Amino acid sequence: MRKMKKRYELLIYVFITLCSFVGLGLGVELAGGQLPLGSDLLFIILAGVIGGIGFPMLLSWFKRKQREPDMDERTFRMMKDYLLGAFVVVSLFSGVLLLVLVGIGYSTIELGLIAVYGGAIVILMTAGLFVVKRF
Amino acid sequence: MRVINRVRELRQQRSITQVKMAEDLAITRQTINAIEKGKYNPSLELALRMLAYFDVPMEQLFYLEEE
Repeated sequence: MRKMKKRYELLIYVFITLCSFVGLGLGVELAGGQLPLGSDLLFIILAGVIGGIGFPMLLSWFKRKQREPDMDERTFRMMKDYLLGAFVVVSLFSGVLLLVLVGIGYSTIELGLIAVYGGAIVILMTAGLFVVKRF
Repeated sequence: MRVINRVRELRQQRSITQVKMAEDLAITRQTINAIEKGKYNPSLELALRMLAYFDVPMEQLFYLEEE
């Protein structure tokens, strides 16, 4: 029963992620392929942080009725190892990417591209953290 | 040298489920499973809590694999 519930939880997360991507696609489509700038971008980032981190944290706070904890010393250790590994991989990948870009003749990078790259890394690392936490 | 434990044996002798033990020791069921399979060595604190939980001396629960 518990396993079934976990499976549904995973499906819900997958559904929400898919909806986010559809929403992103729709947004880009409606905005005519232009990414938002200035205060609009700040608002979108804030909404993303609140919706993506604040809301799940609030949900887990209310879900704390079960006696078995969500995390323990092993989970923390695994997450620490994962974050350390991810930091090394991201650093190396960014360095290589930078070298390649310089190598093919780029001398400047758009701020928007860095924001997208940073956002993608945060999303991937957060998704990885959730996966690590479940093991 | 590997650390061998008799957690599963002692737990089954006392008819305690992994879920019950996880709740009593405030750890996750996955951690108990990992300890029982020898994939994870608990911290000294958790090991001492386990000793108190089963009420056995250290050498009865954890010992080093002889070469």
